[in-house]
Amino acid sequence: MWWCSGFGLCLFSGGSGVRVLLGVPCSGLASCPGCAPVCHDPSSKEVGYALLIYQLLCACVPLVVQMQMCVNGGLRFVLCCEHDAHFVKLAVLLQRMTKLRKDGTELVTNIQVAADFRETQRRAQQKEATRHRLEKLEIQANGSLEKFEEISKGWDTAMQKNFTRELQEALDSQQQLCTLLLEDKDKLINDLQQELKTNYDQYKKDLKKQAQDVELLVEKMDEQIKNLSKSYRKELDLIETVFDQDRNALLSSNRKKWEQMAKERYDKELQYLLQRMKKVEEYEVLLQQLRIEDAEEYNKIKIKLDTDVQILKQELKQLKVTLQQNQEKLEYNFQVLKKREEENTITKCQQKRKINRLQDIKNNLKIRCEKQGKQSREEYKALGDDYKRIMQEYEDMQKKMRHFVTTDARTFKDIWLMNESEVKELVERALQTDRLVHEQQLAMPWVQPPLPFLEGDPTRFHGYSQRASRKKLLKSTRDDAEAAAYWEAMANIIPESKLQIWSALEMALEKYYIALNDRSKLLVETQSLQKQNMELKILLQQCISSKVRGRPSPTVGVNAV
Amino acid sequence: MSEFADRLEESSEAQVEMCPPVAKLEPAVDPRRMRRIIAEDTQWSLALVPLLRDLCLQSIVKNFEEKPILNELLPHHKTVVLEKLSPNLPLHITANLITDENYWKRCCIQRWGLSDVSTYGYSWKRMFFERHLQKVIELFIPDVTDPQSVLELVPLCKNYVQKLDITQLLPPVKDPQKLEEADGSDSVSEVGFDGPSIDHFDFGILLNKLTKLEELHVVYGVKGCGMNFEWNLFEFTHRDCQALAEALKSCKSLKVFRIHQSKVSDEKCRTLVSKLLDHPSLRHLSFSHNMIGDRGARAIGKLLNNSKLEKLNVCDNKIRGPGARAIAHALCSNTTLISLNLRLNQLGDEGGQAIAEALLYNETLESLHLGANEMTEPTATALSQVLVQNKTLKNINVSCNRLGVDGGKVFEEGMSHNRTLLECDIRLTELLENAISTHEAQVRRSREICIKVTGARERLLSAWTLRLPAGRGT
Repeated sequence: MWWCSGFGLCLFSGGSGVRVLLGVPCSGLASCPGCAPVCHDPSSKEVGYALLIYQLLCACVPLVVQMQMCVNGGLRFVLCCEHDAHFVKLAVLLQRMTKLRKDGTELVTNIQVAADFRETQRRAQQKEATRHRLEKLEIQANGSLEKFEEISKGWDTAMQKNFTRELQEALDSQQQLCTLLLEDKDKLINDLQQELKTNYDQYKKDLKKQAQDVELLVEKMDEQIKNLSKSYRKELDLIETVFDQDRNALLSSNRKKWEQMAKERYDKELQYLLQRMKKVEEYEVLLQQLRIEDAEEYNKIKIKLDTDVQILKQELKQLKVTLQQNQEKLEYNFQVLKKREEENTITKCQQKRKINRLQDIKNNLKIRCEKQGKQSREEYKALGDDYKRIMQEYEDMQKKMRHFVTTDARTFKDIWLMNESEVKELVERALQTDRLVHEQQLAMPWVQPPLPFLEGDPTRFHGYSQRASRKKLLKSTRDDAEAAAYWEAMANIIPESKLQIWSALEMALEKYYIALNDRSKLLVETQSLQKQNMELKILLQQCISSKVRGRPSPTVGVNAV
Repeated sequence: MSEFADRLEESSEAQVEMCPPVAKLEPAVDPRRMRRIIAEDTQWSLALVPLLRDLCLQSIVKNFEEKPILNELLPHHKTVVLEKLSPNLPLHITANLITDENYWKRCCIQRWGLSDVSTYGYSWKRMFFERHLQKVIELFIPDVTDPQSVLELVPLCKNYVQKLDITQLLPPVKDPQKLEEADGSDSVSEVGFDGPSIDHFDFGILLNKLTKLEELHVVYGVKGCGMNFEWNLFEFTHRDCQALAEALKSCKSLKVFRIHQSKVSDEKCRTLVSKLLDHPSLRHLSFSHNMIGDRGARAIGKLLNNSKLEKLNVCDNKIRGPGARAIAHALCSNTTLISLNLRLNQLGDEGGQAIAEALLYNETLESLHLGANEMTEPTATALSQVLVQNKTLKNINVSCNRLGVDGGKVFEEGMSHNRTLLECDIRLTELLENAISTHEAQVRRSREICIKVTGARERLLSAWTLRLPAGRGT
């Protein structure tokens, strides 16, 4: 049975676990309902305990519980008052202690409260007395003022008195009045002084009383301290006895346990010792046996091992021989491998160098390739440009060509017409000449040869030119043939027979011409001779006339030569 | 065995003087020299020549004033040195160097004998410096003592002083001749003569430098003057008040301020309060045993809602009804004050009723002392209403007021409805006979007068009874 709580004051611990005195419930409990004790296993017995605790709490009896650590780390309190009378005693004591403390504090504070009360009373009295005194003083002042006025009036009357006796009387009365006033004042002063004295006495009394109070206070405090320390001592004693008992019980039980265990240990050790001795003997016998067996076995093994050693020695020799051989072989192999290695290194070097070179070449090629690519790109671009340009040119050319075709056709037509007219002229001349030849030289009638092509010329040519322009030169061959035939017809306007006639005529004419030439020459000669004759006649006449006169001039003679 | 026991006895006698073995020179005088082994001395060693280490440590101890070497030492060497250091070393060497509590304990015990360290936060060092500084201030004579002598201490003790309890402040010294003159001319001539530059120690030069100061108690008066009594020994002048107020304002860490028995009048109270308005840390304020009247109370009322005060003590002043009304008005809207002490004033029924009305609205005040305030029945009626309605008040004291029989009845009625009050003091209120006749719990209250935990117990019982059936049901 246990309660979860934090509602106690940890006062002491001891024995197994920690014992906590559950005192007056702390005020924290009231403000924190979670801290309230809760019964976790409510069977009838538990409820009974709960009721017991309830009653104890009602009576302000501190409870004693044992505190244990819970599994979940919290604390739980186990009630242990029913089986431990000392704890119940302690609980009662604690309750008494609380009451004692409370009473003591009250006793001490009582004095202070009483002093306060007296002080208020004194203040009230003081206030009252002051008020009273002030009133009295005021009445007195008023009275004395009246008297003083009377006196001052008296002076005036006294001044009016002319007779000495009257004046004396007036002065006496004035004096009397003055003394009365003075007496009054003196009395007042005495009264006040008396009051002051009583107040002083009162003050002294108060001081004494206060000193007494302080003494009382100190006394009471001392008393309380004594009481408290006494009861604390009691409590301590009780706690100590509880502890002592606890401790003694624990000690005795422990001692018992200890003795029992020691005895057990002693018995066991004896037993162990006997067993050991027995075993030692057994083991000695066994050892002896084992030694003998071992010696025999040792000898056997030794012999066997000797033979084994010899065999092994032989084997060893053989092995050494083979080893020698193997060594030589290996050495040779090693040499070979070494050489190979050298070669390999050389080739490796070469390869490496080659690789480097190739690498260089590769790099160069790469660069070149890049360059080439660049160039080809540029070229491609240039070519593209060219292509464009050429296409442009081509178009231009076509345009030009069309233009030229038309112009050519025109010139062709012009030339054609020109040539045709020329040829026609020539034909006409030839025909004319032929007619002339026939009529004049041969004196034969001239028959005009048929001339078909001289009609319809213009239309024909027009068709040709049109064709030429339309189908360009695709059918030029046929046209050419027609043209050739045309021109042939033109050229052969004079037939062969006529040509032969012409050539015969020409020859005859040439002969005739030669004859004529000769005749003309002769004529010229005759003429020149006639002229010479003439000149000679003239010269003769001149010489006849000059023989008259003289001789002939030389110049005429040169010209004549 | 008996021989051994004898030796033990011998050694215990010899142990009284605990000097290192090196110091021993006369073997015949010292019985320890005659022994082979001195087992009870932990520092004793078999070696005849002392260790170099011990010599070095001795030298350090001897020359500590010129060459303080401490923190460079190994921990166990340090403890050896600290044990041997003299408590009379000058403070400027030890103050900020030595943190060892045992050393300061020795210093304190040497100077003041055995004392209670629990009031100093269990720190001997703090105790030493606080008491030292207090002594210096208490013995400070204006215009005679050099203020520098106090200021010199500041860098040494500012890290350790948390509380200053100044129990007296000396007035300036007067020339006997001038004193006679002053007596002869009945204090009129005092106005004419220049007078001292300050009337008491000026806290202004000190408080703003003590960065850890949390508590300050001041009395402007002289302790134990005896037959040399003169009124001017107990004078708190306006100049002092002004200086103190400025000093308080400059001390930002102050939490507790107490000025008592210093004849603080209304004007001075107002001066102090005006500087304490909106103080960042002040929690407790005490003006006990002064002469504060209604105007001062009004100023305090203003302070209540312009600060974070938790505890206010104005006991034994001259506050009457109007002043109490001002404080009550402040209480209505206050949310910080926990404890209020108005003992030994003259509130009367006017003030008492005003306070009671304020408590109907206040939800923070836990402790209220209205003892000896000339209150009567009407206040009791108002307070009973408070007992019914208020849920925070835990402690109320109305002792020494004539509440009377009828007031007592009303008060009891209110008490029976209350569930929160833990302690109620109604001593000397003339309602005892009446209280006894009521039911038992009330009897306990009346007879024992101080009632504790009854309320808590009742609540506990109610909680218990609520829980039990639930447990039984499952």
